[in-house]
Parts: sequence; structure tokens; C-alpha cells
Amino acid sequence: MRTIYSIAALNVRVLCSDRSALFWLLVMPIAFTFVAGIAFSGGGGGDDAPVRYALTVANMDEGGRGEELLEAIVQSDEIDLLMVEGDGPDEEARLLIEDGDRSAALVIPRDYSEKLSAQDPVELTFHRNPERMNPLVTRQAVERVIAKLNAEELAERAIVDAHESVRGTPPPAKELELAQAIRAFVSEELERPSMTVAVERLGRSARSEMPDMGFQHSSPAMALMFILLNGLMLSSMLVTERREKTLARLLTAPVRRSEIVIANLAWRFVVGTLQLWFLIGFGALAFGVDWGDSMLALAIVGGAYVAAVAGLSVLIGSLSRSSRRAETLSLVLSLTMCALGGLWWPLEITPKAYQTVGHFIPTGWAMDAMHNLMSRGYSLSGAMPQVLVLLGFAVVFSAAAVAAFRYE
Amino acid sequence: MKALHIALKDLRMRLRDRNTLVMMLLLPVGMTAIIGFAFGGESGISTVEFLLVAPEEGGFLVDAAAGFLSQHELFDVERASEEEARRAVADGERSAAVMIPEGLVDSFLSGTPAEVRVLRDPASSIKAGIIQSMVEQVVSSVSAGSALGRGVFETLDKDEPLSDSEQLALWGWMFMWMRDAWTEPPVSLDTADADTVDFDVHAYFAPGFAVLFLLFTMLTSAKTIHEERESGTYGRLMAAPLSETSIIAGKMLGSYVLAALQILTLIALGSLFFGIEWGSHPGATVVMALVTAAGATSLAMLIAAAARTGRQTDNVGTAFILVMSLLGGSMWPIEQAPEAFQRFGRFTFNYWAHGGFKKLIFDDAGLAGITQEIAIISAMSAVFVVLAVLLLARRRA
Repeated sequence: MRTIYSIAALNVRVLCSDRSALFWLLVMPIAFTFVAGIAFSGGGGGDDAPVRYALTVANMDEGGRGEELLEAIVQSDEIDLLMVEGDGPDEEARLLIEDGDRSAALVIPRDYSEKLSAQDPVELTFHRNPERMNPLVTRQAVERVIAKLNAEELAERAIVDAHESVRGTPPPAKELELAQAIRAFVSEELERPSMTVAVERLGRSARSEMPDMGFQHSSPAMALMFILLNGLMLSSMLVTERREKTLARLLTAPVRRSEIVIANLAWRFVVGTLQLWFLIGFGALAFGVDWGDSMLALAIVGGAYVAAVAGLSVLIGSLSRSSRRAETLSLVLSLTMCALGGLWWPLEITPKAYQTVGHFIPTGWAMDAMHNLMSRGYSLSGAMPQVLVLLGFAVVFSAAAVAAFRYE
Repeated sequence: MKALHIALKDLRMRLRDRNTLVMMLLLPVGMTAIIGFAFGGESGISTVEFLLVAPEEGGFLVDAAAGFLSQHELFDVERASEEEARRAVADGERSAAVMIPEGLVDSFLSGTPAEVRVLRDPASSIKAGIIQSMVEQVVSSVSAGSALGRGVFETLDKDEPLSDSEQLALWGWMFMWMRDAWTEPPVSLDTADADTVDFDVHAYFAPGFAVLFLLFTMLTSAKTIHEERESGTYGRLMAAPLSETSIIAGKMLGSYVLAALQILTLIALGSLFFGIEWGSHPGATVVMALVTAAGATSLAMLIAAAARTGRQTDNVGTAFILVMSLLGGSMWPIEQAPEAFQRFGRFTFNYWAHGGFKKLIFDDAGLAGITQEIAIISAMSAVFVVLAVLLLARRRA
């Protein structure tokens, strides 16, 4: 035990004295978390603000009703309008969508107000890029506003037609009175609709306000990514020790092979764990990330993941003949596992087959566990399946590392 | 001529190194394949599956709502009990569930309050949001119809109480009237799917990854200035009848040829493996590739010149390249980022290099269409080279 401690402590000291290693362990994950957090925010105005979607608008209406429509859309709290001005804004808006610069555009025609006043049907055009998701949300927000508008517009016609149908044509004075009455009724009803939608978020967010995206996703994802990237890159240190014969020298010391492998696993585990807790602390303090109700569960999930990464790192170090080879292999494996495991984009939007592949590797399970703890509010027992799988990876990688380990 | 010898020597060494080849070709092709696997479906995202909890005898409104919710090919709706729905959503098996209350028809006819409930998996930020938005649209439309219908009854009844026979007649009339009115409403929304060039996820990401890994390869190549110094071979070169200018020029030339080979090979592999059509102007594609290679070579050389050791070149350079690639959209669609984020991206080499290729592929631009990208990258290259030479000269002094 003492031997293991000595070898592990020495390696940790060596690593901590290396400024570039500390840069990669601590600074780069924060930089990436910050950039990815801003990028994933979807344009939200802050952690607590609802996610807002951009809608390009070409308002060519020559009356004032187009402006009223846009005000109603903005009041939905979901949409930010990006106005297109100048000559031929409708064409420009269409081109912006076609060129892929924007996702959706609403075109209000010149005669919008005129046709509404004349009770003639009027058609707005909604250009969308069918490959993107944003238009699904923006179009529905516009449709909601139009539904209300239509009800108000139809009210006067409906009451006159209904009166005609049941009691004959109303005199002009009566027509005006009825129109005013129904308009007032419909407007009031639409202000306080009888049918409403209640959103119930299950899990932890049922008890507390949590941001949907941004840092809440980027912090755990980037922490897992850099633990993996840095952990695997440390594999080259084992190759360096072999190349410089320091491992061979240990043959003359009373140290067992298993002790050397365990020491190598142990110090990588310690470094990974320290890195994880630094990033958890920084995420909570600087970015306001909510890491869940159970720190114990987070520690066990993190520990199991770091153990799997440490095992894989020693395995790569044992199999590689040169530091370059170890680094290249580490980079290939890290990037592949990050992409497949849902660290770069949520697995929920990928095909089923992709999600299945993502669960053949530790990153997919680790990200699931993070979701379970941070979003769904699971305790340790709820994250146990992921912990067991991650420990399984750790055991398999470590056993393979022991088998592949060589002094020279 | 001497510079050419040094360039050829460096080139031979790089091409013999299997690790370099992995970085040059395998990683960009592999990452493009993974992205294609993730987002290569017809709609770009996988099906949005959700559960519908509705009373057995829910009436025409529930059937209409269920029909509407499942009409889009993107959605896949299944009926479930409340207990099943809560469990499935809480466990993340479904992104969301929609619960339609008893008495929805009563609410429609009489205005009694009714609440449609959307259960959301908190770990699903995208799909659950889409479902919620869709339900809000349906409820809003139904609610508006209800307000209008009740408005007619209420107003006529207030004017003069409706007899039973009038009420019955009005119901029938109202049903037909609303059906016709909603067929051609005062304001309608015509959805026009943009005639985008068939969006090919491979074609979008392949140039981005090509630029990213081109920079990595160039960094490895530029780093040899320090490696040769550290191993003493640079000193030996200086002992030969060679000027330092020839050595630096040789190294830059070797790097540039390697960069050009890499990006042209990646373009060929993109066509071969993923069927990417790099536009219909091959000359413009080649020019864009050669200009991009020059930009990457000069940028990497500047990083190496600014660093003191090979290790520092590696660390600072890799960090710089990764951050620049993230900001410049080499790793993800920057068009979906907030506007301010995109403005930052414009300061990166990656933004303009990827942008040029996107214009060639998606806009079928010719050389004239990418002059802005070519001019900006060329200007960047010139600045990078001058700065690199100045820094190397200062170090020598």
C-alpha cells in the first residue's frame, strides 16, 4: 500500500508542477464550458429567462394592423423579431431562409390592413427551412396569435349571420350594437381563455426553477469531456516511463507488477477526481449550475466515470509503443466517445441506433447519470444502473491494462 | 532550391508518419461520418415520441386533438394511462406526455375552465419544448373557436332570450358556419418550405472538420522548428551552407504542400465516401482549398513562432485551434447561435474558410462568389506570415 501511495503521489506531484498540464486540466474546460454555454443558450436572455427563438419579419403592410400583429407575437415571450427593411424585404427574407442564414421568416403583405378592413381573406407567408427545428416553434407561436385574431375578426360577421339565420336581418343600429357586444365578449374571453395549458416539469425542476439549456448542459458535458480527454492523454506518461527505462528500473525494486498498475490507476483517479470537483465547484459558483440534490450520488457517479477513464488510460499506455501513438489513439478515442456519448449534442435528438451505440461506451452512461441526478432529481439508487455499468467499464479496462502492462 | 530540398525532406517525414496520417485523414473523415450518423435523417432530428392521456369518452374534440397531434410525420403519439405517462416521462422514456382533461367538450361549449396538462421530462430541452409549443397552438385555436361560438349564443341571448328551438337551430347553423369560416379564415398562414439546396449534413460538416484537422496537422508540422532546435538538428542545418531564410522558407513550403495535399485529399474522400458535391466549379473549389491551406500554414507558423518550445506550441496552439473552431463554426452550425456569438466568429480563420466551402457547395458559387472569403483569408495569411517571420527574426537576434 505504501508503495502504491509513493508512486501515485510522485506522479501527482510531477503533473501538478507542469503548468501546461494544469492549463488543460483546469483552464481549458472552463473556457469550453463558457463558450458552449453561450452557444447552447439558444439566444436566451440569461439562465432564468425563457428560451427565445428568432423570427425574421418582412412587414410590408401599409396600414397599422401589421404592427399590431407583430406586437401580439412579441408578447408571447418566445419570439425575437429580426426585421428586414429596405426595398423588396419579402424577397430578401425568402433569400435569407434559402441561403440558410435564418431559419424562418414571416411576410406580411402590403394590403394586409386594407383586406382586414374590407373583410377580405388575407394570407401571410411563413418561409421556413424545413431542415431546422426552430420554425416548428416559431410557426406555432404565430399560429396562436392568428387564431385569436381570427376569432376577433370573425365575431362581427358571425353575430350578424347568426341573427339573420335565427331572427332575420337586423336593422343597422341593432347590427352595430350586437357587433360591439360580441367583440367585447370575445376579446375578454381571449384574455382569460377557458382552456389553458399547464406545464408540469417532473423531477427536480418541479421543485425549483432551472435553466433548460446553456450552462446546465455544457457544464457536465464539458467536465466529462475534459476528464476523458486529459485522462486519456495521460496515457503517454506511461509510455515515456517505459521509454526512459524508469519502469524497468522498478524491476530491481521490491515492487509487484500489480502494485505499479494499481498506482498508475490510482494517481490518474486522483487527478480526474480533483479535476471533476474543481469543475463542479467552478460551475456552481461562476455559472450557477445546479448539480442535483445528492452530492454523494454525484461523487459516486463521477468516481465510477473517472475510474473507467483511468483504466482506459493505463490500457492505452500499456498498448502503445510511442508517446505519439498513445496521444493519437487517445485523441481519436476521446473525440469519438464525446460525439457518440452525447457530450456535444443531446442524444435525445439523434436516431435510436445512434443512441444505442452511445451506450456501448462510458460517456453515454455518464451523461445519462448526470441527467438523472441534475434534472430528474434521482438519488443514488436511481443512478445505480449507470454507476454499475461505469464500474463494469472500469473493471474491464483495468483488467485489460494489467494484462497488457509491460516494463519494456 | 535549398528551400525545396528542406521542404521535400519535411514532407517525406510527415507522410511516413502513421500518426500524422490518422490526424490528417482518418479523424476528419471519421468525425464527418459520426455527424452524418447523428443528424443524417430526413428531417435532421429523430421522431418526437410522446404519450396522450385522454378520457375514453372524450368526444369529438379529443379525437380531433389526437388526430392533429399525430398528423405531422415528425410526431409519434401513443395513448397511455396517467400513471404510465408519469412513469415514462419521469424515467426519460418519453420526452413529454399530454393530458387531456375530462369535460373538454363541456368547456368548449360552456366556457367552464379546463386545463390541458403537458408533463415534461426535465432532461429533454428540445423535444419536450416542441411538444409543449404544439399543444399550446392546438389549445389556443380550440379556445378561440369556443370563445367565438359562445359569444354568438351569449350576445343573441342577451339581446332577446333564445327559445329552445332557436338554440337547437343555432347549434346546427353555428357548426356549419364555423366550419366554413375556418376553411377560409380572415387571416391565414401559408407555409412555404424554402427551396434550400438539399441539405446534406455530411456536406455541411465535412469542410468544417477538414479546416479543423488541417490546422492540427499544420500545428504538428510547424512545431518541427522547435523540435529540430531541441534535438540539435536545426544547429546542424545552420552549420550547412544554408541561410536561415532558406530553412524557414523550406519549412513553410513543406508545410504548405502537406496542407494542400491534405485538404484536396479530404475533398476527394468526401466525394468518395459521402457523395459530397463540392459545387459545379471545380476550379473555384481548388482555389478555395489552396487558399485555405495557405491560411492554415501561416497561422500554425505564427503560433509556433510565438511559442518558446514545441510543448508550448502544442498546448497553446491546440487550445487556440479548438476555441477558434468552436467560435468559427467548424464543429457545429454557427447559424443557430445567438447573433452576438456569430459576430465573434467572424474574427476567426475557420469562419471564412468554412464559409467559402459552404458557398461553393450550397450556393453553387463560382470563383466570383467567394472573392470575399479568398480576399480575407489571403489578407490573414499575409499578416500571419509577416508576424511569424518578425517573431522568428527577433528570437534569432
